[in-house]
Amino acid sequence: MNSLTVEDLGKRYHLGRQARSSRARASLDLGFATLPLPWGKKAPLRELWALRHVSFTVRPGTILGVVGPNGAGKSTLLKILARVLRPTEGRVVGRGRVVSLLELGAGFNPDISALENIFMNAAMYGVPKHEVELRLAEIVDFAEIGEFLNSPLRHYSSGMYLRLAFSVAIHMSPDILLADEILAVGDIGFQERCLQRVEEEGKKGLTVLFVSHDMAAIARLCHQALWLRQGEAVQLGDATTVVAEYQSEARQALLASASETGEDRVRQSNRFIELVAIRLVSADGRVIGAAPIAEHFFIRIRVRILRPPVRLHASVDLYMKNIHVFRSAQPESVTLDERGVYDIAVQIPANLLAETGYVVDVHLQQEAGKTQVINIPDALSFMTYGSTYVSLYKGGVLMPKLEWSVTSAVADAVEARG
Amino acid sequence: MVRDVSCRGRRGGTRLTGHAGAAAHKPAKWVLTKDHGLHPFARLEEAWRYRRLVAFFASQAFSVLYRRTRLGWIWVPLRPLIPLLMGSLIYGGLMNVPSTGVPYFLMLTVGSIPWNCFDGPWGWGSRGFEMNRDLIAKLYFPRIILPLSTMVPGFVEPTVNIAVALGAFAYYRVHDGVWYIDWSPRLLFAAPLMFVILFFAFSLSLVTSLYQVRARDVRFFIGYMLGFWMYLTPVIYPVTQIPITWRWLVWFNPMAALVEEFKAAVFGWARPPSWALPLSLTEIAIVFALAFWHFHLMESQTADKV
Repeated sequence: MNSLTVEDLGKRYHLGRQARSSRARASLDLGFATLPLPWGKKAPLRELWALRHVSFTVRPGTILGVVGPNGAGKSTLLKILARVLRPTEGRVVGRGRVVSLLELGAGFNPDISALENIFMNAAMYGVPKHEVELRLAEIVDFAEIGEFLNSPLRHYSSGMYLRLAFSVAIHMSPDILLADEILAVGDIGFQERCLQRVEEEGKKGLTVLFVSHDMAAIARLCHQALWLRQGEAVQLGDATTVVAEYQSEARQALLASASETGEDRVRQSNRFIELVAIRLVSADGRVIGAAPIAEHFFIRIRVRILRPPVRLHASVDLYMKNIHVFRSAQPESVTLDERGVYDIAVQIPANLLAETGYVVDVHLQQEAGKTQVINIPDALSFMTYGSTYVSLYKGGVLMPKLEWSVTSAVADAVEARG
Repeated sequence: MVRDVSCRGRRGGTRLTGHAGAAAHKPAKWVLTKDHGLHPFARLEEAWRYRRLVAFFASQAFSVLYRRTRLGWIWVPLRPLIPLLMGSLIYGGLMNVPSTGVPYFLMLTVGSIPWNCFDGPWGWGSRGFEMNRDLIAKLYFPRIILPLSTMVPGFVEPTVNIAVALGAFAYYRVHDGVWYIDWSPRLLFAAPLMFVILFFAFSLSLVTSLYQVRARDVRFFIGYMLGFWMYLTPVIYPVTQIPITWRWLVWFNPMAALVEEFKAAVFGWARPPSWALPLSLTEIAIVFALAFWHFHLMESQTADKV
């Protein structure tokens, strides 16, 4: 007996008709462009299959991770299961109560107290009041919000919001829990408690569908993973296997885009210099698309000097998901006296970055005549892989390998006293 | 591409047969397909299970009402009172609209009670989906709750009107020495009339709320519609103002009979012709049936369209 059976599921969106003239697409769109007027040619109705021919079954007690790039249909799948969206074709057969956590705090009212919100949220899941009253103590306990129970949610931190949302959801005794990115945002301690709780419930038959871009979280939390690509199921199987294959494909795609389009994207020039390419280069000098963490590698800025002499001062900014990780600048500017092509490279040491994706911005300050700055935002994006040292938890924008030591504190104290 | 893949939980490897499983309850099975699935009556039953949401959405709507106003709650009596005073001045004072033996202010106030049971709740109910756009995309609940609960702020004006009317009756009792109100059992008839009007407003909201979320033009349309509709309904004038040869036409407006019955019950006037109210009720029943059916068909698509 399956907890969920998805058969040939499909979801089609109509994107509307292509506007007949560019004027209709101006800011004051009166909607006439899309009106089915009797005269004029009808533009074809554009459609998009967000999900198509997806079939799979899930047994009770499974934590199923759903992975895939943006637009793969992950959220559409969850929304269909949550009954928010209606499928266009196919069907889903499920068993029991479905509780969805599609967005943090959806259905919470920040102006009323946590206690009232618990009842309201339960009502949104269709759970009767007496059932909530029975479990109120547990909910409050699990969310760790005891003393704030009567204060409005407005004053809550995002962590408290998350704890409350998850606590209410899990205590509604769901048979199927749908979570979109939710579990990945909490702190590690809370994630562990959620996981523990989910496992306990799993023994009683709780099925969890969990969508996330955080591959580490999927690998850690899920038993199985479903990989979606452009609305179709690519693979379903053991979570670590699926995640590994998905990541290797993502890396290859990055590599391909670096070699095909990388050059055009950054090409910039002025009278004095031309920026040719910005590349990731391995320790042995090969152009790479993804960076190994265990080895050092270079960010290489290739420039052509058109009118020497040119004084150059380069710097790079590294970003991870819009977090500015660091900036590194050349300690002093260099003067290039000859025409020709030069490589400016900055070495990124081994075991500094975390296993994730980074984006690089490049700035070139050029002093020839007057000072000019060439900025290239998003000059390069790459993923890192293969952390050599084992860590229980992966996290942070950097994961440097630092010196750790263990010494006997007693001996130390004796030494100090002596 | 893998078309049909089976997935087993860590502990779900063995297939349990019969009742050997540890599961104490057997969860109910449900099916989702492209059709709306539920029978309309099952929908109503489901909505009943979610009934506590009405209070939630109503309070949300209320919080929108006087948010970022300086006068705050003072607007509660002020908003209905201003049009009553203005109306009395212009129609009663300047234009000398007759009011069949009662002070014009009284006639207007009493006539406004049933009318405000209609225009406020309809306008508010139409905003149900629009105001909860984000939630619709995130959470499932019976959507019929939305137009129903956002109607609630529209109850404020008729309530204030009732209070104003009672005050005015008391004032004229002292001033003119007569109770213009007709203290008879017929007065009780006024209450169910208001419910019928609210029900009518709800029926219309079922349709307009669905479209207002897609195009806010609907809101303007409702505004003008209500403006014209009020002139077709004997609110600012007594129905006796309409020539007797044409008066029968008025009763095809479902609101006309309800408003006139209301005024007749309060003032003890002669009632509209006996067929007017049944006609009005029939029209409302038909509107509701069509609106509910339409809503039933369209409801499951709402998240696609917002």
